[in-house]
Parts: sequence; structure tokens; C-alpha cells
Amino acid sequence: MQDFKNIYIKENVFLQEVDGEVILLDSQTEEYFSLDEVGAIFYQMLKEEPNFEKSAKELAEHFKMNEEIIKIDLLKFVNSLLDKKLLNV
Amino acid sequence: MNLYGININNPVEKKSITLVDYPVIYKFYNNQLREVSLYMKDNEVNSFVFAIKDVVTFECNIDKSEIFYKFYSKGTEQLLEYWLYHTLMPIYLTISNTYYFLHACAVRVEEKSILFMANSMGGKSTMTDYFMKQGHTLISDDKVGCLNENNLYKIVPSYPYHRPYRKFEDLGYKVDNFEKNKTNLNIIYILDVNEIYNEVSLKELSGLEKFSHLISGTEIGLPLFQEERFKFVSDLANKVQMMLVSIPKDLSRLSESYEEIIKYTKGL
Repeated sequence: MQDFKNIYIKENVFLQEVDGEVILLDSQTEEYFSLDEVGAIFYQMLKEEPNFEKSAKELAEHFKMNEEIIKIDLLKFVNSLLDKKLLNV
Repeated sequence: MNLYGININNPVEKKSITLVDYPVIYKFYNNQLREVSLYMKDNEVNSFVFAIKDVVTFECNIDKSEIFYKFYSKGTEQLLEYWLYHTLMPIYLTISNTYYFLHACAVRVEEKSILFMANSMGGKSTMTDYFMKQGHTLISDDKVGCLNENNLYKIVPSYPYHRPYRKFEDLGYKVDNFEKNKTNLNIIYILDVNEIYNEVSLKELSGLEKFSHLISGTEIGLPLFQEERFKFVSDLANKVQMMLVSIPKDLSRLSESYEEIIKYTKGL
């Protein structure tokens, strides 16, 4: 799995909430993606600062989880968003 | 003439319409088998040209509320009316950011306005036709203009024609029982045609399912006001109830679907 340092949210990607579900939409390709609670927080962190390591560390602290385990999940998540072209690295 | 809730005069014929300064931003062949192109100026959304090859070209100036047209070799008054009502006005009202258009049909059920959405060949027109035959007022036969007014979602009547059959460049037949006013949008029914022996059933949709149906049912997908339009769809999904209606693929059982939709709508 590819490792990432900085991850950037694309300019035309927006986030909205529908019935409590957080949805990411690329308004150019009209690809969209539903995020769970962790994904939504991670997304907001990346938007503020595109640093993967820092976001992973903060998330692990927030959810009181092992940082290495959360990193594996986040890498899978980032790859799925990259597949849908919702991020730039 | 009132189209999509807007009073407009007939467009004015022009001797020539020049396309200089209008780089093409959107070009497509639509299902009417005509080559249709939309031309806009760079970074300017106040004027555009919409051309139906060999038939008619429209030039629109939103700031001045002007629409001009020029006929070409295959242009007729009937085709002018068709393209104006069916396609140009929804594009105009999308570019002017007046409405968000859904590919849907809409009718009145007593004091409520309901929308039918479905995939292509999914039974919207058939269901709308059945409702009209039961005396319900038509709001829109194909494209529904939605807007948010004081935090309420409303829809506008389109044009008084109904086409319960498939024919290119045909508005259908004139409808007398046609809604005149903007009304609150009460519910959206997503029609899902199923096996012939299935029962009619209703299931409430939520979250991504609602959003997904609204996005795929977006009629005029222009690359304009993208964030604003995404917010609009999300908010519409949050505020308006959406039900998936499972319909048996059997026209003789259409009355069962009708009865279930009426019962549910009246209970809202």
C-alpha cells in the first residue's frame, strides 16, 4: 500500500451532511462518497492541514486507539478516495 | 406565456447570431438525435448561445431578460416551441441560478405536490398519465424546477403539455388541468419497477440513497455554481421526504400503485 506524507483535498470537492450521513462530492466528475464519523473528522483535519502523519496521530488520540492500527485503516480510506479522484497526493 | 413560473414574451427573431467570443463549454448529442451545443463567454454567465444544428439557434441575455432566435434549414415554429419549452428555458433558468431542475414528473394530490422520479423507462410518464386520468392536476411532465423559498422547497409548473408516449421533438398533447402556481414540494416518490408478481410496497429512503437519486436525476448538469448546487441537493435531501415505491411490471396493476401512493400522500 502506498504511503503518504501530504494529502490535499481537491478544490472542487465538497462535503455535506444528509440525514446524519456525511457525503463527499466531486462536483466536476460527480463522484461521491459516504464517510463514517472517523472519515469525516479525518477529512476536516486534512482540509485544515494536509499532513497525513499528524492527522493520524490526532485521530488516534481522539479515539484512544493504537496509532499504527488507525494508520492502516486511514491508508485504505485514502486509497479508496484516490480511486475516486477525490484527493491529490 | 408562462413557462416554469416565469412570464415571458415570444422570443425575437434575429437575422444573424454570431458565435465569436462564445467558446463552446458544453456540447452533446441528445436523445432527440440532434447535435446540440451550448456556448458561453469565458467567466461570464449572463449570456449564452444554445444551438440545435440545422434547426434553430437561441441567443440569451440573462441581465436584460432577452431571448433571440434564428432559424436554419430545418427550423419550424413547432420545433421552435418545442426547444424553447422543453430545453432552452430549463437551461436559461439553471444558468441564471433561478431553479434546480430534476428530471421528474409532478402532480397534485389534493393540497399536496408530489414528484415521480425513476430511471429511464422507469414508468414516470405512465404513472403521471394514470394520475391525470384520475383527475389530478399536472405540474410538470418532464422537468421540475425546484427552489428554496424561506427554507421551504417549492416547485414551479413547467408547461401545459403531457407526452405519455415516446416521440422525438414532440411536446405531447395540451393539458387543461394544469397547475398555475408555485407550490410546496411535499414528497418525492422514486419508482422502482419490479417483477410482475411482486406486491406494491413503499420504503422510506435516507442519507446517501436520497442524495444519490437526486444527483442522478439532476436534469441540467452544467459546471456552474457547483458548491451552491451541491448544498442545494443536500439540503433538499434533508428537508423533503423520499419514498422508494416498488411497482409490479404489470400495467393492469397500476391502480394498486396509485392507491398506495394516494393513501401515503394523504397521510402526510
